[in-house]
Amino acid sequence: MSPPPVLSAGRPVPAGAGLSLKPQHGAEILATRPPVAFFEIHAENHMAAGGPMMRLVDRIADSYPLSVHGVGLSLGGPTPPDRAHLARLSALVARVQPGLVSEHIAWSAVPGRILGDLLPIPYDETSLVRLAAHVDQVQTALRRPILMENPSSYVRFRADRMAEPDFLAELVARTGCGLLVDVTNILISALNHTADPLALLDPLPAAAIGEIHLAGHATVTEPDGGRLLIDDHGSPVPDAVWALYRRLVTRTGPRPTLIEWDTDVPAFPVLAAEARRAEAVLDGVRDTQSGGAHVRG
Amino acid sequence: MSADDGLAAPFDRFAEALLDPGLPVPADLVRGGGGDLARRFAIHRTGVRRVWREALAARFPVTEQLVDAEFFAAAADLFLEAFPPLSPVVGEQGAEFPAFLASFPPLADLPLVADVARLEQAIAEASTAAEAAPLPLSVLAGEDPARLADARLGLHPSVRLVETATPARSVWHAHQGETPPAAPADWQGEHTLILRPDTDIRIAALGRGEAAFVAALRTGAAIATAAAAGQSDPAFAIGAALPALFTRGAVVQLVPGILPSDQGLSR
Repeated sequence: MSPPPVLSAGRPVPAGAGLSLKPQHGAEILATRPPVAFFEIHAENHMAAGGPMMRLVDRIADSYPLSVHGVGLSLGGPTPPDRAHLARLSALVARVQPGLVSEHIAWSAVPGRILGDLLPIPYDETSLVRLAAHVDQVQTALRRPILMENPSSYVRFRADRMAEPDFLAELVARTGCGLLVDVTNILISALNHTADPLALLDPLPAAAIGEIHLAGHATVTEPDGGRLLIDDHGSPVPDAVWALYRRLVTRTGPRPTLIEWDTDVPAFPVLAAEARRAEAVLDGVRDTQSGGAHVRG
Repeated sequence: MSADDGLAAPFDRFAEALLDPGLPVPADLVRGGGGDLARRFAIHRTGVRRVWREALAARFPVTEQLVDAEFFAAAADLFLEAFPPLSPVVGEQGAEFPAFLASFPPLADLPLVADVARLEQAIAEASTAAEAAPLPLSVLAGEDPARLADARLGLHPSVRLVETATPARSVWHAHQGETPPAAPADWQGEHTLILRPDTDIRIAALGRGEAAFVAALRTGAAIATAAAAGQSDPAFAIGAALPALFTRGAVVQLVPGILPSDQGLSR
């Protein structure tokens, strides 16, 4: 086990279970103050000059640690991060003082057009050099390390020369960034390419892992009988993901863990129950860490 | 890859194939385990359309109801071809959508659709505009009338004015309830004031003169000058229009007129 990496600059995000902040749950959260370890916001949903979404995030930031999760910088893409967009992200980070800031190992734009989907990059030296340079630019602008999330994969490149865990470890070594390990993406990427999820999960450098994502996925049966897993964040976390998660945190120790549910979002208590399930896994790891079985009330 | 491929070439090929389903899957892609690569690539082809369609549907809900979801999705796809998204903030996409609909040939006989879209775009802009504290009506009480005539008003950043040749506001209101919308009794043009002085959007019907008054104030005209712009409408009364702006929360700044004794002050 290793201690979590020092990646916090704002109000620290504890190694507990958090939830994505949904505007439809805002009033309920502010009225009932549920015991959620942190809330995560999508950066691009909170870049307006004003209005209800900005007011909500300000009030949540007064009461809870926050994680800011960006989807718009296209750091794996051919061009450096857009300066104007990076400035808006910096302003949001300065405003809400999140404990964690994260982005994706993906690209989502070409010059003159935002594509709006998280697209795959080749795992080769060219990609790594470019991605590392872009991560450096973000970390320099924000004056803090960020976490980079592993993608969900449907297609990959003939040019791939590195295994995903090696690519991620090398990115960490070159930039000092941390990792956001999306366990559902590990399962999806492995099964969609008939690989072993443990081969993607177990080699990840524990000391770099600053956050974990858990989500549901859709499963489609293909005409040839094969299974295709799609990362739709639209259902409870499946058992296969819980098993991989337990394995991961047993190795790394407790980490901030987010339940993602973005499609067909259920009532808040359903999300809170998923978070409690993650807390129970983390409690189990803490019990083992502290060396003993003790009776819980 | 040929030797003269730039570093960006694989991304360009990927993007072109994403946007044009008639193109083959880029030759540099594979999938593990065999099976149909095109089905895999289609996940991304769908992804790059769905996100913007959903964003436009969220921004223009009544517009979508007026035409139906299938027509709306087709119009959204064509719009995105004409106006490729330039901001990674998905919620900001669509400022040009009302103008696109206004010149969209299938809607040539239905100007209402583009007018409702203009209203919904104004609502979206007001929803995310900067915050400012409205001034209470009582600030008018202590003002010297001569000075007030020369004063200028700073309006709330969320204030939008929408003039439509169709009863777009009435139709929009009729689509807010649970009951099936009824057609407006009078099919005529409307002036609408939209603002968000605090948490909630406010939508007000304005007379023609009142709209001209507010439009003039927005350009920085003094109150007396703006009132003159409203006078072409016999229903316009400055004694009602000015207090109404305050009670609606539309005024955030009162900049006194410059009298001779004020020389040297800047605004």
